[in-house]
Amino acid sequence: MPLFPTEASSVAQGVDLLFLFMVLVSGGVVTLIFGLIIFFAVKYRRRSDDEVGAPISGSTRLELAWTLIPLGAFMIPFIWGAWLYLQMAKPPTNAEPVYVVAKQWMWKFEHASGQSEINELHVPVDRNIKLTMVSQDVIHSFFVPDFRIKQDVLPDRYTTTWFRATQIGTYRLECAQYCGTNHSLMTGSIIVMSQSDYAAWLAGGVTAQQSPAQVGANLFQQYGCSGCHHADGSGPAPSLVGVFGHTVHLSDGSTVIADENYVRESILSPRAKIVAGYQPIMPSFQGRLSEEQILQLIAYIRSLGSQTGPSAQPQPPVTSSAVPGATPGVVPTGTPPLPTTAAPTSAPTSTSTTVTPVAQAPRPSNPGGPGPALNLKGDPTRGAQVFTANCASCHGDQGKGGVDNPGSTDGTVPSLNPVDPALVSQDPKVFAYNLDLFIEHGSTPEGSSPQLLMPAWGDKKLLTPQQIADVIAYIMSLNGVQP
Amino acid sequence: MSVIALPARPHYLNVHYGIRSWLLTTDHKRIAILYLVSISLMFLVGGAAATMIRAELLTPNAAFFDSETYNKLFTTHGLVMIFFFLAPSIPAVFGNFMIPLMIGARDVAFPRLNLLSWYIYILGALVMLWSIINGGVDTGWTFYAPYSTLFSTTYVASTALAIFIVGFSSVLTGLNFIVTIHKLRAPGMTWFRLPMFVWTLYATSLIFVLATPVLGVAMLLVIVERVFHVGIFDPSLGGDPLLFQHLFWFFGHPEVYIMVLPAMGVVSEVIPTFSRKPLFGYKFVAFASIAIAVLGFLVWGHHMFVSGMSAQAALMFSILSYMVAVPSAIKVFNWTATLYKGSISLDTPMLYALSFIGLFVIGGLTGLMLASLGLDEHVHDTYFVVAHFHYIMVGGAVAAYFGALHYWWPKMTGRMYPENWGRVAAVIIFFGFNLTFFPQFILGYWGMLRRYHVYPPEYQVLNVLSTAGASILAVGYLLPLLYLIPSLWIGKVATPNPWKATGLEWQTASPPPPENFEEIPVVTTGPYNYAPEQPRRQFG
Repeated sequence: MPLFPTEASSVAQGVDLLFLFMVLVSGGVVTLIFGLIIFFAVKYRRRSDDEVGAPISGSTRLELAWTLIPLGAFMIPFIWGAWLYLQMAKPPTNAEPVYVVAKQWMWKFEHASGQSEINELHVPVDRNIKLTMVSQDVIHSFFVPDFRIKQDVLPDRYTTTWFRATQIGTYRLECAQYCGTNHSLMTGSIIVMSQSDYAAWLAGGVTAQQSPAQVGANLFQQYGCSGCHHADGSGPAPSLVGVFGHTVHLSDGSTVIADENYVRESILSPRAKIVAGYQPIMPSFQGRLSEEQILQLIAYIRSLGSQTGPSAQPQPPVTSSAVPGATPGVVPTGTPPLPTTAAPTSAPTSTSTTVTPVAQAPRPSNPGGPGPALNLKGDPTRGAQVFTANCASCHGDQGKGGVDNPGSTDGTVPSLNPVDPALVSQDPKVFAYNLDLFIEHGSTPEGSSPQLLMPAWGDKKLLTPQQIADVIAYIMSLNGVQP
Repeated sequence: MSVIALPARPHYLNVHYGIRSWLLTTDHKRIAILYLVSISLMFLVGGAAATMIRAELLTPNAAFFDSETYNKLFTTHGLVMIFFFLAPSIPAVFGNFMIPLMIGARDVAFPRLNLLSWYIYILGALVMLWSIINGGVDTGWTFYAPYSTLFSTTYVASTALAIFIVGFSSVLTGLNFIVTIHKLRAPGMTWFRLPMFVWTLYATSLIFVLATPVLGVAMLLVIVERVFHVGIFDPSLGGDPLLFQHLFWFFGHPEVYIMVLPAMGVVSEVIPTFSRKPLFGYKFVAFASIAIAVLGFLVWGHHMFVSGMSAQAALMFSILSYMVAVPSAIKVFNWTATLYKGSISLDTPMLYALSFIGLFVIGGLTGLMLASLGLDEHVHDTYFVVAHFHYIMVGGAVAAYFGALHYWWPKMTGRMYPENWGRVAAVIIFFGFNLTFFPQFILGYWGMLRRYHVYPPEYQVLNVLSTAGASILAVGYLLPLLYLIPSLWIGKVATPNPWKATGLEWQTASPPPPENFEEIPVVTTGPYNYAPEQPRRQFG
């Protein structure tokens, strides 16, 4: 039996290290106390029946020592544990959302892409997953021992936790809060897959699946919400565009941040918090919506959240003309000077390059320079096979695109056939360089919460340099450039 | 003072005979015996449930019971052991018997109220047993809402009523002790001449009076929501389930100190007696007891770190939990230092006291791990917690209870117990206990959850070890029954002061006369004055 259970999440090692530290220090203290007791009991054993001990009554210096030293020493596990806890408590902003509904005695999961699962949760390795959880009945608790995370799941209130799995495998999920007869059977599996397997799993399961936000949009119509909550704010109820995640002013003068719990309360108990300037006319939807439907409505309202409110900013947000995933104006640090349409290192052999305004090629959101694939010769035929196995699930058959990517500004995964013209160069080296940065380091598309992200195929060693070179050659061939 | 008690001498046991003389007694010593018998019976009930739990956990899958029965077993075990054995154990038995003797009083301040406390305890116990026999309860001892208020189909309301009732017994006992200690001390018995046992029971009584009513409120609200569907905790009725947890743990954490403070008091008596030496740092130990009682009210949130409380609250409760550990550490160091240059005799009570220190240290240090937020997120609600609180409550409080039972047995019964059998039982309990509960620390870190009827098969080896330990522990607990009861008739007649101790309780006859002292003593020295001819000195 190894010392610790599997360390399969980004926080597990840190928790184990703190535990090991405390076990070692505690072991020392226990040995000291037991040692002193045994030593004294032997050394000062009673020699005669009327013997008495030395009349020592105490020592102020010793008392001060064993008051202040523990007090100081206790600050170490306090600060260390608090530091870990704060990391564990706050989900990273780029975490992928998964909605969890717990009930006696099962776990239901819904992915942002619309897949739902029972007692199984498929997640990609090395990606931040944020769970928004609610219980349909009693209190449960989401616990994955190999991830070292635990969070109670409450009725009528959202709690969140997050994790980043670091190892591919299947991990036990358990309910940690006693919840009735079959408490010990309320278990499940977290299935951590490679990012390509996960992409395939997402694509393979169901094709006509709608994302929670899309279902929520339908519910928004179906339950008549749209009758009052006009997008332009002209209705009797406030517009919900640009609300989520922002401050809302209430009629009693206070403010509240529009998070999941606020939206939930507004749906179920509309009179609890009235938006300033509006009448309390909204009916309660308590008992009319399932937990899943409430989560879907929230997902929809969240998707409206990043859009700018009509009154606040009349200009529509600037959308990048380049591929989603490019972050305009942000050049990742550590990136070497960018070769654009001409090789910049060589002497000015061509006069035209200086006068032609050069379109800045889009760059991935993740930092990093070119990978080793650029030094290898790619084979488009082998590249086509690699592409079909790994890339086609998002970029479409032969890279023709069209796969939905809810939460991204473009709404779909960009086509690679044809690819964004700003990336194309007739110089094969430049073209390859532009493509390689995306494949090596991956990218997060522009948008509020894009659900599909470009994995870092090179950094995560999901593809070998030769495979990347082959894929680059294939994409170039699709765009009419001979590698 | 080594006068052998003559058979004809009237003492509290022979002054009256017959069942009425017991059931209507107002003598604190007889009431203590009533408690001793009743809590021993409840200990057997709780122990039987524990035995069945450990038997069931021999195998990963259901072996003897279905899940519902298993859930009722651990609920029964927790409720009976905490509310009907541990909470009253040392205070109601030894506190009742010894406080008046130790402070030089003839009885407690309110003798009839004292008897009423026992009747309330019995009423609560009967309602509890009625609930168990009728079908039991499956909420866990913590009664978490909304499971307890809306979902469980078992005898929740009657059990909550039993807990509500028995709480009053604790409140009245606490009240009685506080007034007794304030008003009935013998001439010259100043606060700093009080034996440490009295100090710790004073601290315990404060908690009895201040925390138990909150439990009563929580239980009452569970009954109200369950029976009348008034929304208090259940969100579908407009309530808040975390409110219940706050109420419960506001009582529940001080409850831990209700169980462990009196045990600390026993240890603070036994160690000076068997080292024949003053308690090291008397005032620090006394104030540490009060500090524990006060700070114990401010740390309840550490039971709720993963419940969804805010990070700010979690940080506050975490640092306060480290604060409350400081006075406990002070006590451990002072007990250990008391041994230095003592005249140490390893009689049975001393073995229990020393094992208390060791096991309490392990329980305390693992408590520090649980107070660390990042670690708690992993081990919360696992067997790590189960092991931790059993080290405090069984390795600590129950060991001290057995130590007290042996220490004061000669005083209470007038007979000696067989010393060698006593030592054997103490050693068996020590090893059985560690074999039972140490593997549970490992199980917990590995992720085995408490209240799990079926568990993954890789945890079986450690569970089998734990059950083996529990069997040894059961033998250790039954052994005293086998030698203590016969000793009532065949034991050597006890002298007034068999341990040559200094407390006032040892200056009167064994067993004491009905009025405790023929003449109220006048106190001129501190409690542990083993070498009156030598001046007391500071260490170093």
